[in-house]
Amino acid sequence: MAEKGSGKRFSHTKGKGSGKVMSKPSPESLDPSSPAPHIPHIKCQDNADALPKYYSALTRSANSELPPDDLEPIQSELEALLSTVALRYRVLKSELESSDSRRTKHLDRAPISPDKRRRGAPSSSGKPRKFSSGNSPLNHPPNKISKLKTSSVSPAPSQHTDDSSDVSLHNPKNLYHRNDTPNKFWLSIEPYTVPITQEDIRLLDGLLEEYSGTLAPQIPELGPHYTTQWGIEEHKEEQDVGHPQIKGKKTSNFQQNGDVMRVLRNSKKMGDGITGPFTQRLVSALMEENMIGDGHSTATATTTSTENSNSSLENIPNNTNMVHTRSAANLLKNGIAAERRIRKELIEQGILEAKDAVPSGERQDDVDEVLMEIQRVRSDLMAIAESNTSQLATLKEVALNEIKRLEIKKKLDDVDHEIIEHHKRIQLAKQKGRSLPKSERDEILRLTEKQKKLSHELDCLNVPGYTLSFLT
Amino acid sequence: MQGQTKIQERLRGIQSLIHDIEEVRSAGEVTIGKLSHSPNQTDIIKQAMQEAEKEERLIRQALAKIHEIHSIRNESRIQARNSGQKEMLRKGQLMKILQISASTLPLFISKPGEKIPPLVGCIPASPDYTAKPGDMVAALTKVSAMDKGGSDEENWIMAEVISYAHHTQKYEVHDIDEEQKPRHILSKRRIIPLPLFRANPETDAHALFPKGTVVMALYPQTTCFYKAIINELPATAKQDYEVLFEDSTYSNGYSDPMYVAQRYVISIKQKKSS
Repeated sequence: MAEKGSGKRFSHTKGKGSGKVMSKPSPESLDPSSPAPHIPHIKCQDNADALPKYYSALTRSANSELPPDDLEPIQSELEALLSTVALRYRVLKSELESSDSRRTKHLDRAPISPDKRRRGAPSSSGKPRKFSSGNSPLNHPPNKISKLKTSSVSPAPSQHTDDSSDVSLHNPKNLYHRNDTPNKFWLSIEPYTVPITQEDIRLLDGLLEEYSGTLAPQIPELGPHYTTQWGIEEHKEEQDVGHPQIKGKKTSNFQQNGDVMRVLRNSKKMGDGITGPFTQRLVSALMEENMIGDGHSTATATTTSTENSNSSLENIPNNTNMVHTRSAANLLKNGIAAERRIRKELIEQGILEAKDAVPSGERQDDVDEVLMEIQRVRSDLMAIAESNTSQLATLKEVALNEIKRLEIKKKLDDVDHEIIEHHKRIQLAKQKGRSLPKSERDEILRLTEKQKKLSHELDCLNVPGYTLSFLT
Repeated sequence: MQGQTKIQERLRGIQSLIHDIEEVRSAGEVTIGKLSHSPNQTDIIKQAMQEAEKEERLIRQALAKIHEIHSIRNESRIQARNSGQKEMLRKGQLMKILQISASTLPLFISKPGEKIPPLVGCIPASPDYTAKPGDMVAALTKVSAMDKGGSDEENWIMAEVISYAHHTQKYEVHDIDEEQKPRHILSKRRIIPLPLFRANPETDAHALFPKGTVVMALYPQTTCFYKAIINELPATAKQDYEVLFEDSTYSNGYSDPMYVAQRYVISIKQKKSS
């Protein structure tokens, strides 16, 4: 609403101010007897109407102070005055220049032009000269013509940057906007619209070659770091952490002899490492048995071979007192094997079911998770690479077609050019009143036939932009 | 109060300049009258041009004084705010101030052949330009979730620059609509300076947005900028743009024509192409 208000105020100014004054001369100028100049001007006698605050400021003495409240309207009135005077200057300048140029032209051509006109050659170029023969440069008609001229010539790109169009500035609405934005836009678009070349095809070939091999990287086998070294490190850690845990538990939880399943189920609470929960459980179960039993020092019997450890496992369910302890060094070496073997054994014995046994090996789960993720990402990559390959192939096909199309287009351009040349020659011949030799006529016929053929060919080929469905 | 005496000084200057202008105008009128009777005389045209130049110079001087008054007032306002005085404005007052500051924004009238500088009309600021404290800008701010029911929305609001930190390239701006969070620290990318001059359609029409341009315009009676299309250009310096706001509640997707002052129509910020 506020903006509308200012709009209203403007229309008031326009109606009674510059607008009125500017439009006023035109009806007068239609009367050829009193040619009035089309000069933007707010008459002093219109001050009270057009510039009320300015007018009231004039009634006060020059030494007084402008009322601060009048500042805003005074500004807009002064701006209207400034705009008018700036326009007036431009119009005057253009009039001066045009009258100057007309005079020099007139001087140059003075001896020739009257003769020519008398001969009665009403060519279009004669028209502006007609006005120069004494009519006022400030008249309406010359202005009109100069206006028309600028508008008809303006498609030339130089017009947008050429300041010479200021000459006809008296009606700015007819001026072409010297706006740089379209140029910038087209410049940014250009790389995408230039005709494709063999270079582009080569680039596509290169890309296709890149995609011809394996589409996604292979997943390597686990290296020694993860298979052995990691395990050893974990085992060492466990030696520090795992033992106190066992000690703490043996007095409270594991009172019952032979409750192997329960011990096994508690496996997750125990430290896990290279020897694995099963091995841990086995050791702790055996140790507890010793504590609860009558204190036989059977634990001193040692076997180090893996075969023996195997046989000892068979005895677990039966609560036999055969206890085997291993040296830490041995465990270290055969840790994984022992764990695996115990699991296998437990499953074979029917104590542990296969599906229970697998998740209890937490480390294995870890590996699986990472591997699964890798595999998932890899399959995604494969899919993307595949679609890229197919798009590249399509693109190449389209590009090859486009190259063909461009070739035809180039031929057509050449033919067009030749035809234009011939056309010029015909024009010239017509002007001189000569008839065309037959060979020339045949040549023209041949060219037009060729042109038809080529344009038909061009029509048959699809414009690639419309067929590229993947671009949309 | 020093500002007040400065203003009075300028008001007196304007008053006497107006008398000078009138003198030149009435002298010029004689020449123009001569010109209408004998239009082809180059010496009269030259005289009229000289007079026009003189008149133009005087009017520019008077306008410069008016703009000085505006900036003196603006400075004292900034000082008052920095010293802690809070301006409490009702919505209506705020809108009135916005309207006045748009219509009193200096008018740029080029000299023949002069290149239009940045921040006149539709000419954007150069990339290294930084707005000065007290300048008005459009600022892209996040609307807090509380206000707009959950989703984090971003809005171009009208704000005033408080300071600019060169090392961080960040502005501190002040939301002119006091109801919301008043201060924001925003990166330079989220700031568009508003034009510092209006373009004069009568002499510099090419410094206006062409019809059909997609712009950001201040929605009437709000302090937010929204996407709009230029429907009609102002024909004179006092007129506003007629724009159509993008509005999905209308069947054709655009609002009815609305009028927005030149000062509050800015080019749309280029989004980085993804």
